[in-house]
Amino acid sequence: MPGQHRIDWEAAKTRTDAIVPWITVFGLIAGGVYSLVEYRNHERDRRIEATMAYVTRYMAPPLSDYRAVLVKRWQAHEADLLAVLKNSSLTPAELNRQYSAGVLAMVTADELALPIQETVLFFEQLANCVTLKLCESDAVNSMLAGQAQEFLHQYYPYVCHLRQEWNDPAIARQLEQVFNAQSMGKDICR
Amino acid sequence: MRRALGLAAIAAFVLPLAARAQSKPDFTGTWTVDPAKSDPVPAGRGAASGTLTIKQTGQEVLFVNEGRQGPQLLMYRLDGSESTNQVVGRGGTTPLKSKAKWDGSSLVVETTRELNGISIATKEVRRLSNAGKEMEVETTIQTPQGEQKRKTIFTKDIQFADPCKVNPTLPICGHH
Repeated sequence: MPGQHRIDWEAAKTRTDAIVPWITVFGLIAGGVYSLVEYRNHERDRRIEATMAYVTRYMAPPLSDYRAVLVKRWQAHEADLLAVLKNSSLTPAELNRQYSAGVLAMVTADELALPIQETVLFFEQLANCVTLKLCESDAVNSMLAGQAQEFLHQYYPYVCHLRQEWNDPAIARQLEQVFNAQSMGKDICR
Repeated sequence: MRRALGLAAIAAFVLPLAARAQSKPDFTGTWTVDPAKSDPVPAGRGAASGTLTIKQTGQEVLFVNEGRQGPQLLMYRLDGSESTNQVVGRGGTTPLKSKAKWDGSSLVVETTRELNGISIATKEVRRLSNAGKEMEVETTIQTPQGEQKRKTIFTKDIQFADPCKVNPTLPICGHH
């Protein structure tokens, strides 16, 4: 019939054969990207959940009780420690020696070994959790990293004492590495 | 004239930022109640005494209160989200749900607790005075019986919490 448009089935099939693999590839890529994003989100949620479990543990007994004891005893000895830290006539070595002696005397007199050891253990576990990427480092940094660093700054003489007494330089190493990286490679127990 | 306008524009931009930066005081320290400057304690609640140790970071504030049952620890997030603390009293452990936020230079902590089936809301407005040597706490307690207000003045006797902030030459501080 004149003017009637006839479909060229051969050409259409050729075009379709050429397009279908591309659609399949795009579909696979889009699906793969979606799955990857979903997986990453799920993994992040899981890491945040693990981090929140640590925060909850930190805020509950017995750790909260240990922390209360440490804060209280620190305050009681604070004036003596401050006098050492503010003594500008001391060399860095003598400052370290006197500060360490003050902290170790406080730990002995006030029986703070258990609260410190338990807190070290907690922060070591948290540091491991961050290192193994089982905890979300951003969440840890915003919630517990400051506490961990300040704790290490206060009680590093006792950490050094433990390393020496147990002949194990790895004690609190993870804690130091994750939360106080600036002292890594330096001998804090000199 | 143009220069004056420029300076005014800069001041208008910078001063609020500076004021904002200064509007978050640090309550870190150990504080003792000053009974002479504080409102009297309501009858039957014992004398105003004891110490309160506060440790503040950018994200949270920690209170260690020397209570009759031993040290009580309360931790509040400063982003306005809810914090739950467990308080040990004569009747056992009670959960406290609190929200802490900044109101200018004041730290406001609003807490609710259930006591024998009655909901009690407490609002504490905390600010520093006398160049940071004193802390004023206005406590408002809402109960079904009405509202009670009380002002407590604490004096500071704390010096520091992080040795590296006092002397960064300690080997732990990473000072070169």
